[in-house]
Amino acid sequence: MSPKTPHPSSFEIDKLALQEPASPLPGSHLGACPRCQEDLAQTRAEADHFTQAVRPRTLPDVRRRLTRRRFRLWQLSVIAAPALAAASVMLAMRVHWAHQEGAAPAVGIKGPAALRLFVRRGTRVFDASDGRDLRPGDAIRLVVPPAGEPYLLVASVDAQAKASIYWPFGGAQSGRIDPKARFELPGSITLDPASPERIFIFYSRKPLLAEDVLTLLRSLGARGGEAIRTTERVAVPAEQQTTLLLEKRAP
Amino acid sequence: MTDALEKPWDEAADDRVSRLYSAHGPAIYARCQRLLRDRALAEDATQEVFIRIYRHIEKAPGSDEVLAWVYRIATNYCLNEIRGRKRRREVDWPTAELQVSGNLESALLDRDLAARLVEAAPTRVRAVAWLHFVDGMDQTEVARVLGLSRRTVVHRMRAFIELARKLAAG
Repeated sequence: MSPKTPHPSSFEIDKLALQEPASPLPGSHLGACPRCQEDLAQTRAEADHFTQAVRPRTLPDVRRRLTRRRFRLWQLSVIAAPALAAASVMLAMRVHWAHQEGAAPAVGIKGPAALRLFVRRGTRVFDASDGRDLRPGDAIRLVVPPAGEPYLLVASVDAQAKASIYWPFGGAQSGRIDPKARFELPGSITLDPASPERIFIFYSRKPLLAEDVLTLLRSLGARGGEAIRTTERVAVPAEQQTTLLLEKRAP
Repeated sequence: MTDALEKPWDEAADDRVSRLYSAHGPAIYARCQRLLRDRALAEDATQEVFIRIYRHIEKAPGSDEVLAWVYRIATNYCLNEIRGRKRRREVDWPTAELQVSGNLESALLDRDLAARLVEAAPTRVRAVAWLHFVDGMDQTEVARVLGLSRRTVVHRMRAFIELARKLAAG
């Protein structure tokens, strides 16, 4: 059953009213039918009302809602990254503690998921927390996640067996930090061409002596690039440690 | 690696919202007003429908079918709104009018009566029944607007008519 009506559908009338190419309408009917003319006039009136009154009033709100949604997604990605990093650190710590309890701690804490590395190259700034695609001359900054320990030492060793203390810069021992807050190392580090380079972050309850750490790292560097790539833990009396391998390639 | 300084929103996107709102807003508003019969409700519904359209704009069909696509989204949204309002108060079945009319076919030619009946009908058949009995679309048009097969449209119309017959029979 269908309505036996001579009237064009609302859809046809709306198409006509909104000035889209309409399907052929029964011209004589439309001209003579008060109901269809009323429908046509009503759709046109409503469309005009939207354009003149509703649109100017509601567009800012529509824009704000769509903008806010996009912004929230963007914010979420920014917020989620540290949360994911923290979760990774927790997971890594469990692995680390499990190895401490076991007989053969062959696997250390993975660095890339635990800390953030930002690079400035010319005018461009980007996240390079995977430690790859770095170039000599890049200026890097590190953001270290909290690990619940009050002392931090950040050191590195490269393929030329050069060991350095990145934080506290030039210090003789670990520096004190807020054990519950992320810590951004002050200043930036300019990368030299020696590759690979491995950064170690040591968290401890008591300060570590920088010279002891440097001696161990020089020893590691002396074993060559492959040893640097594969060694994720060193025998430092830190409660927790994490690491990041930097691979630098000239452009 | 990703750019850390990527802009979350830009002027081009802002312009796009404005352009699409101007292009589709009149059709959405007119459609919402026709279904909801209330300018304040139509205004709110227009914003909600437009936001749905904007979020799925990549699924929009070619220009010949855009109005049908907009119609589908607006119709479904408004019928859900009507249904939600009905749920919050007593369901108003137009049983008496159907019985007084005595002839179902002629009764359904009354758009107001048909609209009241459709508003109280089950979700599955509501959009089909509205487009056919209230908007006066034939089965092919209904199928096109709702993106359904003609066979599905026929089945749903039959279900709606069966419901109306039961009401008319008391």
